[in-house]
Amino acid sequence: MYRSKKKIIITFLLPSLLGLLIFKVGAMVYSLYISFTEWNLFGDPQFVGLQNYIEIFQDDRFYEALKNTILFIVGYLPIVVVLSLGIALLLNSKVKGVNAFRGLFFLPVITSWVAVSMIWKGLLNPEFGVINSIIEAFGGTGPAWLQNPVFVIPAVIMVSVWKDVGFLSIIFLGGLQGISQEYYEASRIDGANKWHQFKSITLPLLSPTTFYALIITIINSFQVFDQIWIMTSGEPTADLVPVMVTEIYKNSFQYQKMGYATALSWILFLIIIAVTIFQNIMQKKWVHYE
Amino acid sequence: MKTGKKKWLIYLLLVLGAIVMIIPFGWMVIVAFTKPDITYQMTIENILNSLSLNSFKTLFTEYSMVRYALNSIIVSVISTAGQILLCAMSGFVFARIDFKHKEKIFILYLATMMIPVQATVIPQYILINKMGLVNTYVGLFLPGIFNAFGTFLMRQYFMSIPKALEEAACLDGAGYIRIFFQIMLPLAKTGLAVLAVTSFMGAWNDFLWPLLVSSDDLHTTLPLFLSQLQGRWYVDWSVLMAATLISVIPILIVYLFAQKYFIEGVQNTGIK
Amino acid sequence: MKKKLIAGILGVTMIAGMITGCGGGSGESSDGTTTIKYATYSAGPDHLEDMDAMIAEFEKQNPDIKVEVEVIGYDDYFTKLQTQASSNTLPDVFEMNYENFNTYAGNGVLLDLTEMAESDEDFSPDMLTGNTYEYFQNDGKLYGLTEKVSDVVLYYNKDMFDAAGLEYPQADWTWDDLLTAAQALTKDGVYGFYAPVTYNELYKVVAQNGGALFDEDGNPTIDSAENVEALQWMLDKMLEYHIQPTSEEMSGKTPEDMFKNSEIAMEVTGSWMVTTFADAPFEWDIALEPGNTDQVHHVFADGIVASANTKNAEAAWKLIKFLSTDATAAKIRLDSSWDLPATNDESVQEQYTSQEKPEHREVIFEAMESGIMPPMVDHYAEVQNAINEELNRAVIGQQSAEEALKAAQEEVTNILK
Repeated sequence: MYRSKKKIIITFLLPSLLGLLIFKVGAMVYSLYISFTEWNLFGDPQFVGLQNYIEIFQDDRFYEALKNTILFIVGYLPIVVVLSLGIALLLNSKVKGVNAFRGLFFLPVITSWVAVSMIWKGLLNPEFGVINSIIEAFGGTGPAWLQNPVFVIPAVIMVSVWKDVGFLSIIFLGGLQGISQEYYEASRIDGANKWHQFKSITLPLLSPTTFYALIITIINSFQVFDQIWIMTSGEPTADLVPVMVTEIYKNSFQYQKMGYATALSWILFLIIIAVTIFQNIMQKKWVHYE
Repeated sequence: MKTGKKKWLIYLLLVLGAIVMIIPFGWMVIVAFTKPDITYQMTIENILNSLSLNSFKTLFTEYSMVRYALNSIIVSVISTAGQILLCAMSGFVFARIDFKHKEKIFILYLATMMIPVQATVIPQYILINKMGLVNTYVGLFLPGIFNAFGTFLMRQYFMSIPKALEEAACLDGAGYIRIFFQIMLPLAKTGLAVLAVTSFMGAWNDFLWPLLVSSDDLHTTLPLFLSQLQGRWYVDWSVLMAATLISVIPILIVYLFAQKYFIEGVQNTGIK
Repeated sequence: MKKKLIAGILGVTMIAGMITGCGGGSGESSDGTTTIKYATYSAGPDHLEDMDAMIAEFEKQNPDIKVEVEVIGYDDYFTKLQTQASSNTLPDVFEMNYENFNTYAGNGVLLDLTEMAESDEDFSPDMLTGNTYEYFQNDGKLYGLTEKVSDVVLYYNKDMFDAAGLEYPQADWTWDDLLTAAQALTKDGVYGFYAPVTYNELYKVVAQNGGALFDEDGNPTIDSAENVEALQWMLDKMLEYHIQPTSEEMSGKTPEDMFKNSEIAMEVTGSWMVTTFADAPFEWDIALEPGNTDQVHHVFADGIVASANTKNAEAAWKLIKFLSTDATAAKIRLDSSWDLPATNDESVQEQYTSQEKPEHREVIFEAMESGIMPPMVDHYAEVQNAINEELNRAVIGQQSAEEALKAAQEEVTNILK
């Protein structure tokens, strides 16, 4: 086997690795260089050393954006992961017609953001919207979701969860399929109930999938952009609730401050990598591979 | 085996969930098939009175809808095929073969997912431009084929396949290639199905990259066209939703097709 | 087996892709025709046929030039343009609006047209109307020609005015007259008036009150007393008098949709809306927008420029000249209400005003006479966002008009220093 190992690595890994190096890593390295320059996209970048980074750490907006991003993640991550797992379990049941339901739950994922924001702005309307009507039915007062900066992040979390849950549950569904029925058979013979089965069979055997779901959800939610941008567009809260990538976008394509924008990107990158490495280390504690 | 009550509960949850999921999509459908003047006044009566296929007609007569759809299909199919190939192969290596610096290279893979696209899109464009690939199909799909998400996904799937099967095959004298094609791939069908759906969606919905790379009708993809339909001052909702609906169909098809493999699942019947 | 299938699909589509995908480039082809690339944002989605017609006419007049048109949505246009600028791949000729012109001209990416314009016998500056010839000059040199202009006027629902027994908006109305009428019209879910509370609207409204956001040297004068008064008026309409809907009350609808739906009686919006409102189910007309101490209207200009790196300067100039001054092009524009051509041709005004709806079309020309162009500032996008942020805080009640403008003044001073 040793002889073919090298050959395998070369044929199987090299194409993907080379491509990544050329197109992604190369671009990343270049953007790192740009982060130490001032560049308005016309002409050539001017080297300015650490100036962009210093400016960022002195900018209130940066901390605001970072705070909002973290708030989003803290609210979004647990809800979307738990809900997706729940929905995956539901869609895994062998009831008739579950196929059709799988398709239906996937619809939000493919519904365009234009349509989603139209409908959700209506749902979130403080006076006529369904969400507030439900709250009022329970005796509370619904807030002005998209018109009050404080409630924008919760509103965006709601919409994001709704839109992404169908996607994440496919991931979990896939993982659930991979668990052999034999385990469940054996444990039923041993007299275990459903909850016990879930805890000691499903969860551990699902852990590689859960790990994947957690990692990509974290990586993606640090880069949250479309949801915030589109839901607050046209509202008075536009620009009032910055997150990291809205600032990166504005600085790069609107203000033409590429140096500043790439510096922001790299700070975000380092944060994400730190969190991911932490997750990677922790995985040894709870992720079971066979 | 399931008691009647449990089944009933499952159905209830499914139906409630489905209703919540479907409303915006339902709105899209209604708007696409009605005239734009009732978009904001959707009573049942209005809807039934202004059903019309005008928007769809417009899409095919006034705009090159077919061309754009074709472009999207070509780019997405190639991208998806490429991703499945490359990610299955590289995922396999990460899952089953040990080599020097493996951990570090894997972190490198993950790292490429962590940088916001706004930072890398211009350097990437400069590179594609230098390669003479601006406004070509190759330029459209090439960078997207190299995607770490897929590699990561396949690695997880491969890692959860019991080593026992492999060891048995090894004893039978099978080399890596045979193991890959005859054991790993078939058992990871679900993973491949998920990968197919996610890569297709990613390529199909990609907007920023095609915006920069394509500069004529022959290379414009559907997301660009949809953005063009949102006029600067005014939007014809009906036409926009009709176009959106059409552009959503292929993803739905890919998903429904791939779904089969979710159910098939893994038949871990032991040693071959 | 599956692998072979994948490889097969991959191979076939790749070959198909490469064959059909070889895009045309600009330059000379073997039979002597020059091909130039032209990018536009205003042609889509409603004027694609008009664009084609114009290009056909241009190619007829210039048989040795072929034009490849690229239509890009306005929101994405400058993203793409900047990326192309950063790698020297700008199209030969492209559309440019007044606000962004300075940045591009100032950074040397535009072709200097001064010499070609002077030595062209078939061209003279008075082929363009008014002072539109000056719009796309920078530092004394000519970089583009104005293609079309548009302005902003007051649209009103005649049926609603009739029902309320009110006199239609007159040319000498002030803000107070507007308020009185709007208050009478605001009832039963209908709002009397709408104008946005954004930077774009602000620089005009302050001018209607004798103020200005910047002085002649480009220094910010945002928190002047006249400006604060003007902003107060903008906010009061929504928050005090309730004659204008808040964004909550609009619930995701655009003001144009609401006007068309008879939910707003008077709306301040662009001359380009004339076609959109053409099929409205009620009688409507346009009037000059009421000012306070002065009458001021928005004027917007779109121009055509060329890339400094183009290899086809002559052909580029011809296209620019055509789109800006050619009579046939102007007619196509007028027939489809694609804004107003900058051509200095009396028949233009006649043809435009002779069209039926609305009755007082000449208002669009009258408004030009008291027009104000967008302020020319560096870091235009940053300034705009900074001011909009403060305006938004005022709109949701977090700060007063005075506080908003003071904060804006501070931020903009910071940005511009």
